[in-house]
Amino acid sequence: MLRYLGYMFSYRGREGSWAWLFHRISGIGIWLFVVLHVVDIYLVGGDPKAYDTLLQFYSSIPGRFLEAILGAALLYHALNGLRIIIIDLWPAMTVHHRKLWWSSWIIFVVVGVPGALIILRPLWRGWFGG
Amino acid sequence: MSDPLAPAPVVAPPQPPAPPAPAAPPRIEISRTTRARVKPVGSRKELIMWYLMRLSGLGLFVLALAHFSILHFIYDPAQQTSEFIATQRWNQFFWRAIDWSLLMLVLLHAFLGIRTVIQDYVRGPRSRPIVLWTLYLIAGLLFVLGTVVVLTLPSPSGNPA
Repeated sequence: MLRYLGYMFSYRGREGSWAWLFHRISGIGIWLFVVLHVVDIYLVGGDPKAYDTLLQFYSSIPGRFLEAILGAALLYHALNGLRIIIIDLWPAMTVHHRKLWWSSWIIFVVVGVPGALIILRPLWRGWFGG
Repeated sequence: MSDPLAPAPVVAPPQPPAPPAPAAPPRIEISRTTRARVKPVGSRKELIMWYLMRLSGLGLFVLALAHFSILHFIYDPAQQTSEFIATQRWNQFFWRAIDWSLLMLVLLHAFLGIRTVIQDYVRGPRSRPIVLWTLYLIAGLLFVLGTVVVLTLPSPSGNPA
């Protein structure tokens, strides 16, 4: 296991290597959440009280941080996935794969920062006398 | 300076063309530049999965991001009680169908992804089929469980439950 982790993090290919590593970690993370999400939605019919208790955690401040991390993983995976599809279906773009990677980060920040602010609004809503 | 008495260099006679190599087993390659997974050759099954991965990815780019935006930006999680889901969100056939399509697509995409991860790290000739079949079992269970969850939640407007 440790050997695999060392292998995963070993520095090999600059941007492409990091893109691959983040894609894999975010992908596995999203999958784990989807499994949890199937179970929590099952509770809506199976045990609504338990679901509402879980929802209280989801909408708490720590829950919202996890929600923002989930959103970040989803957004990164979506943007990098688009980059992979572009390179696969249009191999000439491989030359520009680094530019594509940095562009995906620009979109990530432009979309992700307002998104995180919306998710975390209970944290800052009181700051402006609201 | 060349020695006039040295023997003339031996020129290799032209080689007959090498016989065609035996068909190689299907290989799944990774690009050294981008770390993208190179389109598989030699296996129709792997090629179909390769395309399915990308097609479901495109579908999820729209469906998953829309789902997240609607339920995390437009609605706040604090609003989404079990009552909200039963009487509003999933009381509409349209959203139930959209959410089910999203679930099927995400389960397919995740299944193919985890399969790739297993093929990368589980190399033992005996352990790999065991781990892969465990994954097939879990994936099948999730498809069934997810569908049951979407279908069985009573809908006040439809099901007289």
